[in-house]
This record gives sequence, structure tokens and C-alpha cells, in this order.
Amino acid sequence: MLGMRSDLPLDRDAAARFLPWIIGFMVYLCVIAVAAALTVDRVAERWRQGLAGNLTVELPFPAEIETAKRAEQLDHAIDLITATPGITGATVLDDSQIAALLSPWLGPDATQLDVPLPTMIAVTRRTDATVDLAALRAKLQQILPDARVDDHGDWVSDALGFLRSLQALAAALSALALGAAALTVIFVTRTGLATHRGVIEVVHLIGAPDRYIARQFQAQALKLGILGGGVGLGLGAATVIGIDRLIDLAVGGGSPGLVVDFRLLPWQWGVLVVLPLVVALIAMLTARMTVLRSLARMP
Amino acid sequence: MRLDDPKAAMSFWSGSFPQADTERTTVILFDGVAVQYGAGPQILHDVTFTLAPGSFHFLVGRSGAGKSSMLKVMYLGLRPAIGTVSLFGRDVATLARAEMPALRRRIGVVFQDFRLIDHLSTLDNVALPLRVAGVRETEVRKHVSELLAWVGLADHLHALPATLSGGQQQRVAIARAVIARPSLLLADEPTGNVDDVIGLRLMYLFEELNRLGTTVVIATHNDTLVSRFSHRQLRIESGSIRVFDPRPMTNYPIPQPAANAAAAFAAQQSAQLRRPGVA
Repeated sequence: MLGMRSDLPLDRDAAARFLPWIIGFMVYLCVIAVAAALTVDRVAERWRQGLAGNLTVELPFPAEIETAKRAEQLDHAIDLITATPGITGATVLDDSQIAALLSPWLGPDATQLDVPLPTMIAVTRRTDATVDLAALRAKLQQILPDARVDDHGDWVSDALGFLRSLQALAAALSALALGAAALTVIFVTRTGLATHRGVIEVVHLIGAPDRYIARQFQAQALKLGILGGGVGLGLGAATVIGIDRLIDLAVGGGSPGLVVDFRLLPWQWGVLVVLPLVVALIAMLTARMTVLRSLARMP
Repeated sequence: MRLDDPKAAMSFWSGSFPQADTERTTVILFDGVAVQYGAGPQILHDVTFTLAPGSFHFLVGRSGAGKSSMLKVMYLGLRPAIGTVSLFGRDVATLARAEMPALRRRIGVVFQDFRLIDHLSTLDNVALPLRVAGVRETEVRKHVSELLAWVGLADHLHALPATLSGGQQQRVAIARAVIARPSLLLADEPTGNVDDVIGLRLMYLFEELNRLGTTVVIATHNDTLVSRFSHRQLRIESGSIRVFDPRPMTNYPIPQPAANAAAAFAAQQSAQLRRPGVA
């Protein structure tokens, strides 16, 4: 279809010359939006997996408690925790670890401040087992009424909710870009129909059905769509790789941790490569429908 | 190929591409037809006649009499304001849009202003009806170049219309109209821009097409041509049509009076309308 001989000089239309640029721009936006959505998906997955194997138990001992009693209660708590089915280990965080956790909020000398800090126990669990958190919480609260068991569920669901809304935004942007591209194709096709009205009339009188004329417009739209889509994909891919490099530079090449990294997996690149083809296909079908509907209204 | 040999072999209509079917029903029927553009005056009125399959008619009348409008109605380019027009037995008023292409492919038209497609070469212009009909590309090129050689344009296969003379453009237009061997050929002043030698050659082309079964209508105001080829005439006089046969005493089959046929057709149509369940 791409090499199809055309009876209409569609490639000389001024409006058609802009089509690859507009489609290219729209594909570029789509590529960035979809790449961002895919990245967000991986970040969400990493957060979920990273936190799924962890619990935190917080024991806020009163400041006036004796050290021996405190040690006894702590041992008791650790016994309770490790005896719980599904739990594989428990580590009491020492002052320096707590200081490291608090330093972003309270500065490097957090443990030196006159602030009562709870004792923290990092608990690891088997990801495939369900831990009866309510029972564990109840038992710990018998030792210390203010004991807290946190599986980070609230935080994860908040964070994931935020990531999902980012993805919805990306999807909405992509849909807008596709809609704009389709509208442009409709405009270019209608302009083409008006410009070549005389030729179309002759071709009709010779006995060409509407679909014969539609084929020429749809071939043109497909060709320009693939051209523009290719350019958009190229620029989009360059941008994605560029952003990834910038992040690498910013975090000094180390593991980015919670920072977003734009390094896509092979299948995700596959999705991006299919994107311009989908857009070209939409352009083609839009052109076809526009021609058939416009011609059906002609006498 | 010598252009002054009007009866050189015409091999371009042989082969496997779609051929004109032998028509059995009346090719064209006009019954009480009036033609007008918009709210303007009636150009033609009370036009009633039939054209039998395989007939050859000149459409004559002074300039501006309505010859082109008549042809326009015949090639489905204009709907009659009043009356019934039937092509190949189909009432065009009841014709769905989707049915028109198939009907139009059976009609070859030589437009007075040629209406060649500017950006297509001679070969591509003439090839258009075959391509629209889905003929294989090798066949298309073979038949088109043979026909173009026959009309003296062998050296202009790849020329664009703008680079051709008026006479050459006219021959391209004629070649495009006849290439697919239509059942009905409608030509509007087809020899108006060519010299007598070429004009004669083109007339022989139309006669050969007619001999193969095509119904031919040629609009002309060239009296020499009309008198040289004694075909029947559709004469437009004061806005209406009169059928004139210059050789009533020859062995030519005597046509059924047009008005009778038209009346019979109309009766048949209304009979079908009265019978429920008959499409």
C-alpha cells in the first residue's frame, strides 16, 4: 500500500506536508508519556517488593523505665516476634542506625537531642506467608501498651495511589495527543478532498467506487503517519535515554534507589516501537472514514 | 504505424481484461425528461427516445442547444428535473450511490473539455478505467500502449497533458473512454480539435467499437462528419429531441417507435409498483 500508485497528487498538498511533523510531535508526546508510565510502573513494583518483606515494630519505652526492665521487655518482645509464624528474623536498630534514619528530618545529631526515641525492631518476613499482624500487635501491647507494628501498608498504598494517578495523567495526555493527531488527519483529508474535487469527480465518472478514492488517501495517511511516527519515536527515545543519563550523572552512577530511573526493559522498548505504528494505523483509518463519509454526502 | 491507414488492425481490445457484455435490454431510455440547472430555465423538455443495444447515433444541434447536458444526464453526471431516465434497464432515480460505479464502468465518456488528470502521464490517464476495474498491471500497460500507438501517441506515453497539443489531448481523452471497451460510449465533440485525417481515423475507431457491440452516441456540430457517416441522429430542436434516420430505405432494422417503447417501459414500471412484494 505504501508504494501504491496514486491518481491524486496528494503528496503535493501543502496541508499534507505538515502532517508528518504534527504526527511526529504527537508521537513524541505519547512516547514520553508512555515511557514515564512504564517507568512509574517499575518504580511502584520495586517499592512494593522492597517493602513487602519488611515490618517495623516500634517500642516507645517510657524514659523513666529501668535499663534492666527495658532489656527484659525487649527480649520478651523479640521472642514473641520471632515465634510468630512467617517471620524470619528481627534486628534491633542501634542508635547510629536510628540516627541515620532520622538525620534527613532532625539533622545528624538527632540521637543527641533531648527527644525520647522509640526502640525500633526491623522484622523480616517471608513474602509468601501471611503474618497475623493483629495478633502480634495485641501480644506486644500486653508488654507495652504503646507498641506499634507497621507493615508500611498505608504508606505503600498512598505512594502507589500517587503513582497510579501519574499513570492516569500519562494516559490522558496520550489520548489527547492521539485525538489531536486524528483531528489533524481529518482536517488534512478534508482539505485534500476539496483540493482534488475535480480529479475525484473524473475518477468517479470513470467508475471508481468511493473505496478506490479512500484507498489513496489512507495510503497517504499511513505513509505520512509512519514517517512522522518514526521521527517522533526517534526523538522520544533520544529524550528517554538522555533523561536516564542525566539521572545517572545526578546520582553518581550508583543505584538510584527511590529515584526514578528511565532505563526501560526490552519489552517496554517494544511498546514504544509499536506506538508510532498504532498512530499511523489510526491516521490511516481516520483518513479512510473521513473520505467515505465525505464522499457519501456528495451527490 | 501509419496514421493515414484508418483501418489498421485494432488489437488493443483483445485479451483478458473486462469486455463489454452484449446488451439485451434497451441501453438508454428517456421518457418525458426535462433538464435544468438549479432554478434556471429548462434547457431540454419532453425528451423521449430509446437507444437500442449496438446502435450508433449522432447527437446534433446548434451550439448551446443542450447536447452536453443530454450527455451529462446519460453519464449520470446530472439528474433530470422531470421524467424517467433508464440506463441498461435501470431507472437511475432509484439507483443507490453504491450501485453507480458498476454502472459507470460500462460507460465511456469523452468530455468536451477532455478532463484529463493533469499530473498523470498519457499512459496513466488512459490506464485509469482499467486500473479502476482491477485489471492486472502487465495487461494494462500492454493494451494502453497499443491503443495509444493506434491513435498516434506512441511517442507521448509519458508526457503530461499540459505538454500535449489540443488534438493530442483529445486523442488521450478518447483513448481513455474506449480502452475498457464500454457498453456505451458517449463522446462530446470528439473530433473538434483534430485534422481530417485523424478525425476520420477516430471515427473508424468508434465504428469498430460499435461493431464489437458498444452503443455509441457522438455529439457533434460537424455536418460534414454527420453526412459522411450516415448514422441515425438525435436532433435537438427547440429544446426537445427528434430522432432522424437518414437512410430509412436501407436494410437497417426499423426501430420500434421510441415513444411506444418508452410508454411500454413506463407501464411496466408502474405495473411493478402496483404489485406488492416485487422489487
